[in-house]
Amino acid sequence: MASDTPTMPTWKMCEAIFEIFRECSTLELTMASYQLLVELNKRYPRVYVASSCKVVVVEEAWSPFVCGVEGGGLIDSSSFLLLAQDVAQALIKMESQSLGMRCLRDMLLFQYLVKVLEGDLLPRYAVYKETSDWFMVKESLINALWVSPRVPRLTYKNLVKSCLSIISSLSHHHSESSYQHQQIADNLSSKTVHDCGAALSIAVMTQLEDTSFAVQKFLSMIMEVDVMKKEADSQGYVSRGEGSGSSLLETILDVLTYDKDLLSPFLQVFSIPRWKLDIVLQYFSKYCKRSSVRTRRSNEVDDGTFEGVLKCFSNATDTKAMVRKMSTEVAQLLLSHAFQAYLFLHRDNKNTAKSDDNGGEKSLLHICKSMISAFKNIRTNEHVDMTQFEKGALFLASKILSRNE
Amino acid sequence: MRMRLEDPLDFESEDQHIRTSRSINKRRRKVIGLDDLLNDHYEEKIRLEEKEAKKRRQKRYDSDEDDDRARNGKEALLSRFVADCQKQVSEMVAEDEIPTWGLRLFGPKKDPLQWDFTRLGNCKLLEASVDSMINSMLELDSEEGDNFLEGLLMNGWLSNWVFTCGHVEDSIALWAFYQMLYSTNEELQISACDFWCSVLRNDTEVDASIIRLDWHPKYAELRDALNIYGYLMDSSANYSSHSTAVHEDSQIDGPPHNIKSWIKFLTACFCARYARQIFSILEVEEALGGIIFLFVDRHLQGISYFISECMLSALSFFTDDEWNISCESIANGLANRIPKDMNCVRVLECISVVNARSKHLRNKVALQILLNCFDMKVSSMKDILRFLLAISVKDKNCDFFKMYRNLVLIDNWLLSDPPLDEKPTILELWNRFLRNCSSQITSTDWRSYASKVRNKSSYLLQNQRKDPQ
Repeated sequence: MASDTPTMPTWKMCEAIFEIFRECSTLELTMASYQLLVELNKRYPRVYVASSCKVVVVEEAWSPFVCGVEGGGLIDSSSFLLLAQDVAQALIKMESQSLGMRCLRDMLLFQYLVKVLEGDLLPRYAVYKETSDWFMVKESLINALWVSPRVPRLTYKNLVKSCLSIISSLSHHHSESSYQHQQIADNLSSKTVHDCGAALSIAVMTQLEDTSFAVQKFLSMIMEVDVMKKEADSQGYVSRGEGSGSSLLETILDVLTYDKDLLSPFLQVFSIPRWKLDIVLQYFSKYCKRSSVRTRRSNEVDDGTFEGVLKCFSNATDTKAMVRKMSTEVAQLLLSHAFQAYLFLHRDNKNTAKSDDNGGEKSLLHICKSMISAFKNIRTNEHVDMTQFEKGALFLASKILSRNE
Repeated sequence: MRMRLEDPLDFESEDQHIRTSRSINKRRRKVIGLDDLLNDHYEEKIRLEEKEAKKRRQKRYDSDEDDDRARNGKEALLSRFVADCQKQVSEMVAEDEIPTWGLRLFGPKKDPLQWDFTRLGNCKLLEASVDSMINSMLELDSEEGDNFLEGLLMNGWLSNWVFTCGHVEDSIALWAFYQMLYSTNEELQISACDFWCSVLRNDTEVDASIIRLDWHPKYAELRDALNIYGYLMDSSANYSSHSTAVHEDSQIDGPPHNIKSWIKFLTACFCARYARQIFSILEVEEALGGIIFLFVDRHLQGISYFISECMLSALSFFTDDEWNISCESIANGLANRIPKDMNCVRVLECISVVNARSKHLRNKVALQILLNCFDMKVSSMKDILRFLLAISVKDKNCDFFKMYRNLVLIDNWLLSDPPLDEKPTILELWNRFLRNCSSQITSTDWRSYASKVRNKSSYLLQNQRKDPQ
């Protein structure tokens, strides 16, 4: 990379670096090889968009994944699953022994793999936006690895579970002691691992956040592919062989409905607003009276939007019915999270749409008003203590309103 | 017991079935035997390789893998003999002889400035609502303001608020800044850092609405924070090497975890719209030198990735004109400060060459260190190379570490083109030097660094041939 006319590193070199990364035992070497791998991935993408809106795949380039590449690669669906499970296990135990070098390496490997998957998907996604050519997306690593029906359902579901458990184990609401992070930090610094206990502890702490983000990115990539696939399907581009199993969104909802303890910590950590809002709204749609909502494309219709959901809480009787079905705690929690995701999306829309329309501002105020009345209605129905998070939602809604008065 | 069970009973001896299965069993056992042998072999190999790895701890991927493997074999053989003869005692000596990089940059921590919580009192955000029902639901009276604010921050509502109203009050900005740098609550500290970074980054995004900041930090405040973390400013005499066993109290020193937020925050600052208000050019030079210096603290090797990002973002601060001058002074500063041992090799390797500026910097740093090493006795590169050529590698007192260091330094310096009129001579001398090193050091020379010098130079020589210069 240092020379003026850099040449692409050979297959052998990449593989050697990857091997060093997986085998080495010192922190220094781990970080250095990780950095090199990430840099190489950035510098020499296997997939890129050529000027004529075409996706170019450099077939001879090295990739850590088995699929699509002849003879090379080391990671396939099942080893990826094992990796995710290892990370999840280590994080759930939260013991100092489990959070050593090995866990650090696993987390870094996971992040690297997600970066590779992303590098593979993004150019295809960009071209898809222009041309609606499903074929390119179909060829993507992430589709081949996870979305395609060739992947056994059980493996798929296990992966989703592991991902969710990684995410929720990093939430500070999850464990009894409220500051999980603190706990890990204490654990790590109370032991002396060879010469770099403190160094390792800082490294692990940093990687926790980044791993959580990598998992979220991974999930949202799959959801993105799901959406594209559905669109392609409606236009008849998806062959019957590819089928359309349950989407990730549905799988996540299944897991969350089944395991209610996961719900709060998952939403607490999962921070990609667009998908978060989708997940929450779909969750609501199971309970709303007019539960005829399926896709995001039916947004024009009143239900399936946040406004629609808030309507279910607009008067005392409706609220009572909703709360009976889904419990006060869950209702408050979901409303607050939807509100937060809505605010983030609102800001992004404001930025792209340039201020000239007042409609966005009006609907924001309307949402804030409905939020407050929803909370009041829930409150008159049954008195349940609000969490810090929910208080924040109410507080912000009232602040935004009073600012505009 | 198992053997007994598998032995045929009398009446079974006629049974063809049993006999074949027995022979299979036998064969299986034999195979297992082979496996065991193989395992033993591998275990031994791994053990030897580990020994090797210890010796070459500092070494990175600087030579071709094949080459490495072949050499490994030979050296493995050799080191086994050496190990057998000299036993543990000699091993200890060998360990001591090879220094590794690593300096303690952080001493005992100082007490952070006390945050005056009354300053939040006149904060508009926390004023009670006119709606008494909302107030009672929030129970704001019974709770202390800062507790509630912490909740808002950690749950992301503070960012929501700031992005919606496009304004950060000074008391909130200051409070979050303080939490980010000094809070010992990991969660709070991370949230505060995320908050600040997203505010700063917001401005660099295209068509983002601008957020008005009533207060933003100054460089002096960031430097103070480093001071409070125990950073030993410029007093190179005080740095003690990591390799000299001070591990017992490693929990006491070493920077607090907030250093990570400090680095991330700085990274965001350099790119922010406010960057010019936060730093002067001289201050960025100082900061950049400091950031690069962080690479040599072993406590921070786990976050070298962030340090590297921070360095790149600082590089982007300068305009082209500023850069040419600043680069010199940064290189000078670094070269004067850094010990001329493995640490300078580490620093060079960590200045990752991903763009023109970082390449320029690496190359200038290499040159400055090189000149410092020769105490300015020599003025030109030609002289340095001639001086090096005069060293005989056969000499018993030849310092191979210095040879190795100079190899790395000159190689990095050559990244940029030397002045045209000197170029042919320099390349000629450089080639001669490389040939000397690669051919005159025998492969069985076990003095520390001898093999490293040999390999590095033959690797570089090979690359030279590839380039038709």
